[in-house]
Amino acid sequence: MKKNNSTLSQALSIYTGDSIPKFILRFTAFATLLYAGTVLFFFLMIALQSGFSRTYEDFKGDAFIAMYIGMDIAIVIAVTLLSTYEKDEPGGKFFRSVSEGFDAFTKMRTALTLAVPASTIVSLAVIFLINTAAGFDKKIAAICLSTGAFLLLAIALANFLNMIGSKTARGLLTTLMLMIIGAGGAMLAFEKDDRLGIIQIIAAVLGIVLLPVSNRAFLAHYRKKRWDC
Amino acid sequence: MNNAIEINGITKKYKDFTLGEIKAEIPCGFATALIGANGAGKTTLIDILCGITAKNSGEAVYFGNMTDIDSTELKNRIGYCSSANFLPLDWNLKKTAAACELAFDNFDREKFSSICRRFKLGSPDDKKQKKIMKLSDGNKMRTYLAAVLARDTDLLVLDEPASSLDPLARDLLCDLFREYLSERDGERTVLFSTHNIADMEFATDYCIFMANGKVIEQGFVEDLKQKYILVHGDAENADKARPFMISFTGGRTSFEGIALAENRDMLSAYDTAIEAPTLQQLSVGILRKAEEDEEK
Repeated sequence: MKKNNSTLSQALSIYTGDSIPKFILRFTAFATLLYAGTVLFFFLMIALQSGFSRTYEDFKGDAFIAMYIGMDIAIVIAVTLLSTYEKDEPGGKFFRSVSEGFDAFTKMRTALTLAVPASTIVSLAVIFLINTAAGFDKKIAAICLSTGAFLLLAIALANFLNMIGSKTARGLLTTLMLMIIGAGGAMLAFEKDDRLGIIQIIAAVLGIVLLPVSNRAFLAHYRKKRWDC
Repeated sequence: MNNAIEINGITKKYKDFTLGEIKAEIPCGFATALIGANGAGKTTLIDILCGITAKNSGEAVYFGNMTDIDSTELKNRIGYCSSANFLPLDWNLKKTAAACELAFDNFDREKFSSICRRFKLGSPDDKKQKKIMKLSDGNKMRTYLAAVLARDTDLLVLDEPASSLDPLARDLLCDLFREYLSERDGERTVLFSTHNIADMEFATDYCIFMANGKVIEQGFVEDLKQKYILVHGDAENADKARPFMISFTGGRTSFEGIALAENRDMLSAYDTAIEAPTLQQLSVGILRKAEEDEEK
């Protein structure tokens, strides 16, 4: 097989060891466990003081449940998108030496542009099921849909922020932006009516339009400033 | 003679360091050592030759007619390996093999397993696998070398491959170089960098000496050993001999250094002992001269 014909999934596999379906599974597992862990941690902390049944009643319809859906998934997205395999990082020189070179990197990032939103949607679906099974919030469907719509936009914006030169500023701003937009999307549905509003639709459409544009802009910038240097 | 690489005026400018312009030849069919002190520009040159770092100007011609280091065909023919953090730290042998199979056309999993066994790293098929981050520096380097040696390439380019290896592993590395070259006699080439040539002397056919971002000397080891001589003498003759030597170390009773062979007769007149230098002695002499010139 000639590697210049490698698929998006194979390119992702060179970099992360995971094909696209395996990547989605792994992402979903991390995001779901992080969310479940956060909720369980706070539930137990409060339950030890206030009692289990009272805490359970308090958690039903609590803003906390909604906010952490957005924030926890945002953290996993940030970790994934900020892995840009710089030359001075472990593996950076290996990835620059692979036979397809920058084409493999381009395919890997394009695979991520597809896989991260898909993983976000799958993670939200699993979190929806967990919350529904636990009977935590009646508005959970709207919260998950709203979070998903806003996170689509945030993923596209993260590609733009990934062009910032300073590694620290890039990491902080991208993570903060993703968490604020993710939590904001969830809280918007929590505070407002449980129907999807025009804001969520605009966010989702903008996200879908901006995803390929931002990915292309990031790749062009990365090649010039961080690959060919 | 064919060259695996011809380097024509390559330069690279950083804020605090400038490489070049570099003019050098890497002869095909031999092991070439890139020798220089830390910071001489060896890694920068190797990274440019392997497409890891972009150059500012100049050109490298590979295998007689290839110039585009970004081409898949050329990348497949070159096996490159750096000394530090070449592979992601969370990888193990199994993941390394899987990634290399996808990343290169010519990776041989069987050969990888066999080299891993020779390096006593275990097998990529073992159930229990150690992550690279948990390996010693020597075993990390062995893993990188196994990954690159398992590919059917025409040119091996290794940055400081011996620096973290123990003496036995260095010996094995020299054997592997010889095997690699003899598998397709005259068609394959090895280029490696080192700042300590002593351990790799017997695996070296051709040398390129670098100092302060420039090539200061190059040639076949046997030719260089004829071009230069090692001179010993009593301290009383040191002042007379010194002007004819390119490097000089003097004590209270004796002196030693490297000189051009053309000064042999002159130096013999000062009651000196003259012999052929080892590559290590030659390296120290040439690099010391470059350091002194830089200080001036």
